[in-house]
Amino acid sequence: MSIDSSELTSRLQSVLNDSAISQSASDINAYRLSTPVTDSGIAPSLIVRPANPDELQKLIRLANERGLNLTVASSTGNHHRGGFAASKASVLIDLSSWKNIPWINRRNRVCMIEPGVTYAELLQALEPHGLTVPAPLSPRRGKSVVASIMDREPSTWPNRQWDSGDPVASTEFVFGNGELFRTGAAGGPGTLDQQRAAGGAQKSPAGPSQTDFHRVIQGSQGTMGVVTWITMRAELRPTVQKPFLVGADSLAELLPFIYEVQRPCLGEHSFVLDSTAAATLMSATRHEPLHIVRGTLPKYICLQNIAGFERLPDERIKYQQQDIETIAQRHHLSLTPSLGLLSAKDFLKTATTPCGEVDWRCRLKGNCVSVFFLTTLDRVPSFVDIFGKLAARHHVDEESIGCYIQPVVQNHACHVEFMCMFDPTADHEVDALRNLEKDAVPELAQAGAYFSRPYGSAADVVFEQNPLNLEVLKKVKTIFDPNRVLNDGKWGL
Amino acid sequence: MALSRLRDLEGEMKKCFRCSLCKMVPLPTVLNPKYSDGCPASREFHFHGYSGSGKNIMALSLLDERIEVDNTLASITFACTACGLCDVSCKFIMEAERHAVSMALREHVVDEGFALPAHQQVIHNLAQHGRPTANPADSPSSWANDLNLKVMPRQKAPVLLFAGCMQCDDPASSQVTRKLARLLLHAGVDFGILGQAETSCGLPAYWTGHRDAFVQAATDMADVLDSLEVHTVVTVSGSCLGAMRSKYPEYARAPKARVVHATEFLAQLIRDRKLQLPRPVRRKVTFHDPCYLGRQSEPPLDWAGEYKTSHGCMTYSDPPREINRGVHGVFDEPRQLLRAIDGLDFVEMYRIREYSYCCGGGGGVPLAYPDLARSAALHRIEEAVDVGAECLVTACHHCRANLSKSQQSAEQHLLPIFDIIDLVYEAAGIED
Repeated sequence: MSIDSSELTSRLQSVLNDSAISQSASDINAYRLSTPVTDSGIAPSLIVRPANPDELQKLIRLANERGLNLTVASSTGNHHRGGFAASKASVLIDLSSWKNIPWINRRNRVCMIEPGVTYAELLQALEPHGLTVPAPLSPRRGKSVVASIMDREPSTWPNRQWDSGDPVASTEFVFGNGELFRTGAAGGPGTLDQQRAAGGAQKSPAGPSQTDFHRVIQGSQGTMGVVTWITMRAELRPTVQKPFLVGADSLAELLPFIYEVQRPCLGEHSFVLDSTAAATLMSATRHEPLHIVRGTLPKYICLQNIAGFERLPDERIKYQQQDIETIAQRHHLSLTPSLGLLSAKDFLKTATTPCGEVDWRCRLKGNCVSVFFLTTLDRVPSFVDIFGKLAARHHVDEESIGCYIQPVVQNHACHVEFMCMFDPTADHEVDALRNLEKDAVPELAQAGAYFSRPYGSAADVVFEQNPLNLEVLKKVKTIFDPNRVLNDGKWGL
Repeated sequence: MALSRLRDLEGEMKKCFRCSLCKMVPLPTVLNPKYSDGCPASREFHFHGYSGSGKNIMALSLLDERIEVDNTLASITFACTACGLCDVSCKFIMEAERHAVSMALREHVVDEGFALPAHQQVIHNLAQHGRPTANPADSPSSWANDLNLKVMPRQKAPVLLFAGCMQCDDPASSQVTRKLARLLLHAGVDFGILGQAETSCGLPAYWTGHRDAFVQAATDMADVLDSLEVHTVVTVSGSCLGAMRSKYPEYARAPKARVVHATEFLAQLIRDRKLQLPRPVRRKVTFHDPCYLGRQSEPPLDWAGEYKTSHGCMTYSDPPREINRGVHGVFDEPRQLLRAIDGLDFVEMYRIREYSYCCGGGGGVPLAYPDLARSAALHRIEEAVDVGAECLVTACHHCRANLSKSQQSAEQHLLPIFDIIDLVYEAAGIED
């Protein structure tokens, strides 16, 4: 993209309104990564805000004609991970103002949303319908739902996830070649209205040919196409909830319990935090200093929610509680409504409610960099051990590292996240973490960690480990974005 | 006794993770969302307990001694047509035996003294005169009057036409059996019947959880069939085929003779050019796959090994076992027959072959839960109407009877119901 700013602006004005193009420093700064630990890429030259899919399509066609490099973002607020970060000069497409929720269908438990809709907005819209959606662990207020689930961010409700792509159902997006495309049941035959009139609900991710093209887009962070809307699976909203905490001083004590509860889909929300992560999450709701809260907690805390819905809610809670208590007793554990200064009810509420503008992980020391990957639950202790040794080697304070373990896809796998909290103004902390992150990713990968969302150093490591994957990605990109107008130089992340 | 059988199946029960696939036909086979239900009981009662998974959970709770058998549990257990859809749908995604658990649960409930009164009467009748019906007034072989058929064992023949028990008090079944006999005569088949010795195959005992009674009936029948020294047994009803081909070897022993359904035998006669179908039958028909002619007719597969558990909850078989998926039932021959009939316009319903929707006629349901039996039948007939059929054809006495009676009791005469033998007979042009 070797064209000057005024020429670029004038070309963009041919497809967008003047007000949809911004070069203001404040706008551009909003899309700088807020972590000094990982490579933050090159800030965008311009921010553009197309008003609708038609303008978006024209913009991408223009990019093809004129060789523009486009990136896309839907969330607002601090950006930590940098899925949109570019390695070349770029124009950033900001879809955060696309906030329509055009369709909520309770019968089929599905809703349609645009990319700018946040969790708070969606949960509020679903509530009158008696619906809700699984959400990440206390997402920040500006987090786009589409951005989160297209990134396959784990939710705290693992037994409502049947496939790694859930809760994405159908999608509409513009490929890098400018073609508008619909996936899943929305792919046809017929228009959306015709499908609905015939009883269809755009809920199935499998399309007419049973090929889920949304998998090309999901996880690609805008390098293959730009989403205009998705339909996503909604869930019945619990009418009664009875959360419990299960504490343990080692993961080995907890894991068999989690396996046995998750296998028959007992309970609802479920995840494990270590005491540092739990105290950090709760720090906005407790007046005691974080270290005091942490001091009252066992090393690991599992939240296990039990819920009743519209039919026989109390009976459901009763039998599920009996089942889960039996399993807990078998493993010499107990379900309790509170542990130390932590109440299960507050913990659940905080975990399932969007936090403030800033990610809760940053509360302890001002900033946080996370190393996360997928594995199976039984292997988590070995990764905890590896990461602990690495942290010690890099002189990173053990008490500033939190651990989040989230079963996904009904506990067929689990997300493991080491959150390294640091003071961004302390150079030695930043340096230590930068080195830790660079060393940790290859060592964890070597031990079997699967970096399915490879941010930071992981982006390079995953392709180094399997260069054939990169070749395949390049071929796929050639098909859907032949002129490489979508974040050229990046492959997924 | 049955608790030990439940114990043997504990590994199968623990494979269930409550996905609810046992309630519906697998998604890739759904052709019409209106007809995606697979389990008549789940469709009627809505609660998970009525599904294959629900019965797994109840059985596990019994094994763990967390619940006891009571009238409510018995009522849920028997509100099931024993059609086995839960079994094949579950096997779409995992290798687990759902139907076997449901049947073992029934047997345990009966052992605990909670058999349903309507079912107890059936067992009493079977013990008294070998047939499930209360009225043994008619001669079992009255359907064969004037046909001058060989009666075994007094007369010998290589083929036995096994009429079953329903023709005794169901005139329509009697007519179907008679037409089959005339077709066989017309094709020059040397066959005989059991005459006055005709009894039930014993399937009602299997359906109602009376294991001992079924083992006895199956053993006795296998002895009788072996003593006749026939090489082929032809069953008129799909239910009898499922009993003899699949359940006899599982519970007692298989008869030495080859057991085939009438549709298989007639299709072979046509292939051998021993039976022609010269007369056009101008009807638009659809075919209902009977459960025990189809997915429930596969012979059991031998396996010796043990269940092992990984991560305290993932159960698997070591060595891996082959399993029946319902796909080797009798599905092709009925369709071959229908397609062989000139002028017949054959259309398929949405749920067919191993994913056929049960008509509600099995499992002892019509006796104990007539509303469930009727609702399942009417739903199936509605499906036939929706594909444009002018009549619904099946190949099992229980199916035909329940489909017909359900229309009568609901005073809804949506479609005429036929046995496939009715149509083959008409097409063969045999003069009455």
